[in-house]
Amino acid sequence: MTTLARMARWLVPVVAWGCSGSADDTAQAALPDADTGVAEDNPSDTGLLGGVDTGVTNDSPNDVLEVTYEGEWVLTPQDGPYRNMTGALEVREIRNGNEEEPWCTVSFALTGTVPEDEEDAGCSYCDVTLEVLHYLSEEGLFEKDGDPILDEDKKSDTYGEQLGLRENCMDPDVPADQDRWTLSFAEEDDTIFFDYYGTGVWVPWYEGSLVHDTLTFSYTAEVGFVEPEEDP
Amino acid sequence: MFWLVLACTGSDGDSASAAQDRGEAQELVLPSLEGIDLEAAYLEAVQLALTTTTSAAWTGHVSALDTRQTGCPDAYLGIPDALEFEDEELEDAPGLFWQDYCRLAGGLYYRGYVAWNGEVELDGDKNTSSGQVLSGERQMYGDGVIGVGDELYFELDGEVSDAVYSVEANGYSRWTYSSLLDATVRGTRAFDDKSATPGGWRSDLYLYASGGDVDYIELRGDTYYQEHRIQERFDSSQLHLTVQGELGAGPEDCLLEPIGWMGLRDENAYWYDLVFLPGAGEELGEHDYENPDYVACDGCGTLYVRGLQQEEIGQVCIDFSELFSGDTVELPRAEDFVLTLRDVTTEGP
Repeated sequence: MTTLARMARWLVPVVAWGCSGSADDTAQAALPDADTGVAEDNPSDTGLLGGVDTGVTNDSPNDVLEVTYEGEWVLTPQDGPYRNMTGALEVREIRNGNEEEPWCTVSFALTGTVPEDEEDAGCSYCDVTLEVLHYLSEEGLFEKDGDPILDEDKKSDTYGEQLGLRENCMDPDVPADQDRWTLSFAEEDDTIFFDYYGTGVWVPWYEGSLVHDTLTFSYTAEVGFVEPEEDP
Repeated sequence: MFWLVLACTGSDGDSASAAQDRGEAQELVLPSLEGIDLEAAYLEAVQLALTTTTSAAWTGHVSALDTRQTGCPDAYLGIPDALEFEDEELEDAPGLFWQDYCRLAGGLYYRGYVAWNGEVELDGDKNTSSGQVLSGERQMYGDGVIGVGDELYFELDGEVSDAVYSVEANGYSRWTYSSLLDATVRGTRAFDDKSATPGGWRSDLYLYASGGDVDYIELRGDTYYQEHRIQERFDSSQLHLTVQGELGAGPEDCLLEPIGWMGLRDENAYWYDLVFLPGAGEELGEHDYENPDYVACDGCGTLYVRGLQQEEIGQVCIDFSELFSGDTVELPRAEDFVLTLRDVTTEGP
C-alpha cells in the first residue's frame, strides 16, 4: 500500500466524524458561550500555589524579620494629671535572628506635651494625650571586621560599613526624624493609641503599662521578609 | 485536500459550502430587544460602573482579613516573590502583604498573596475659610483568595488603585475621586447579598468623578459582571463616556447628553452600542458629521446592534442628571486608607 493510500484510509473516518451532525447543531456551536471568567471546576482557587489540597496546610516564610519597638515615657508632674513627658524609643528589625547585623536599628529621644487643642485632640476615653516629638538620636551600627572607611557624611572613621540605617527599616510606619505624633494612653486597655498621621483615626499602636509615672511600652511582630532587589 | 472535500460532502454541507463559494451574503439575524427597557439598562450600566471601584476591593479585603488567625496568613514586609507585574512603581515600593498557602482545621484558607500600600493626610478645620483637606491614595495588587469551606470570602487577581482629594470649608466643598482597575474581584466580603453586583466583576475600568462645585464623571473601560445581569440579559459593559453635570458646566457643555459611547453585551456576546456626542473641543471640530443626530445635544444616543444602526428603534434617550442628585460615588474616608502592620500581625476580631 502506498503512503498516500494509508493516509487516505486514516483520514476518511476522522474527517467524516468531524463533519457529522445536523445543520442545527452547527448553528448552535457557532454561538460563543457566555464568558464566565474563571474556570468553573474550581472557582475559588486561583491562587499561586494551587495543586493538590492535602488537608491542613500552612506554608512558612523562608526569611523572617522580627520587628520590635520598645520605649518608655517618664511623665510629669508626679502622680498627674500629666502635662509633659521625656522618653525614648528603640526600633529594631532583625533578619533571621542575626542581631549582629540588624536590618535596621534606630533610637529616638522623645519629648511630649499636651496638645494646645487638648479637648479635641485626644481619643475620647484615654487618660493622657501627648504630642510627641521624635528626635532621631542614633541609627545603625558598624559592620564588624570590615575594612576601615572614612565617611565624611556619616562623620565616622571607624571600621566597616554602616548597617541598619533608618532608611532600611521595612515597616512603613517607623517614625522619621522630627516627626510629631499625637499619642494617647488608655490605662484601662493598657494601650497607647496613635492618631494616625493626624487623620483623627485612632489605631492601637503599643501595649503599655504605667507604673509610678513611668509608662513602658512595646510592640513586637514576627513577619515574613522578602528582601527588595537593589538597583543595578 | 481532496480527501477533506470528499469527506464533507452531504446534504447540509452542500448548501453551506455552495453559499460560501458563491460569496452570497447571509442575512444577519439580530437578537430581539423585546421586553428590554434600553433606557433603564444603559442607565444601570453607568450606575454600576460608579460602584465598580477600588473601594469595593479594598473594603472586601479588609473585611476578609478579619478572619485571619496566627500564621494564617503570614504577614510579610518587602515585595512579593511572585510579583507578576512589570511595574516599576510597585517594584520600588516595598510594603505590606500577606502570602501563604494555609488551610486550617475549620476550613479557613488563604492562598496566594495580596499586597498593598497607601497614604492619607487630613489637615485643617471644616469651620474655617481654608477648610479641611483630605488627601489619600492606595494601591492593592495580588493573586490571592480567602475563604472558608465552600464560601469564597475574597479574591483579587490583578491590580487596583484609587485616590481621593476633598476640601470642606465654610460654604464650600469640592472633591475628586479616581479609581483604576485591572483585576478580577470576587467574594462575599466584597459583594454581599445586598450588593448591586453579587459575585463580583472583572474590570479594567478607569473612573474619575468630581463633585461639590463641579459635577463631572468620566468612565473608560470594560467590566464583566460575574453573576449580575442587567435587565437579566447583559453581562458586560464598555464605557467611554464623560458626563457633565449642571454644577461647574461651561457655556459650551451639553448637559443633556454625555460625550462618547457605551456598549452592553449580552450572554451570547452580542454588543449593543449607544453612541452619544462624538467628541469634545478640537476633536469635535476635526470631524464633519453629516448626521445631525450625532452632534445634537438632545439627550439621545443612536443604537447599534452588532455594529448595525437600529433605525426602527430610533434614538435611545436617557436622563443622566440623576447621577448627580445624590452621592455620585461613595467616597472613601480617612480610616479606609489605614491598614498597618499592626492590623495584620494580630488575630482578627
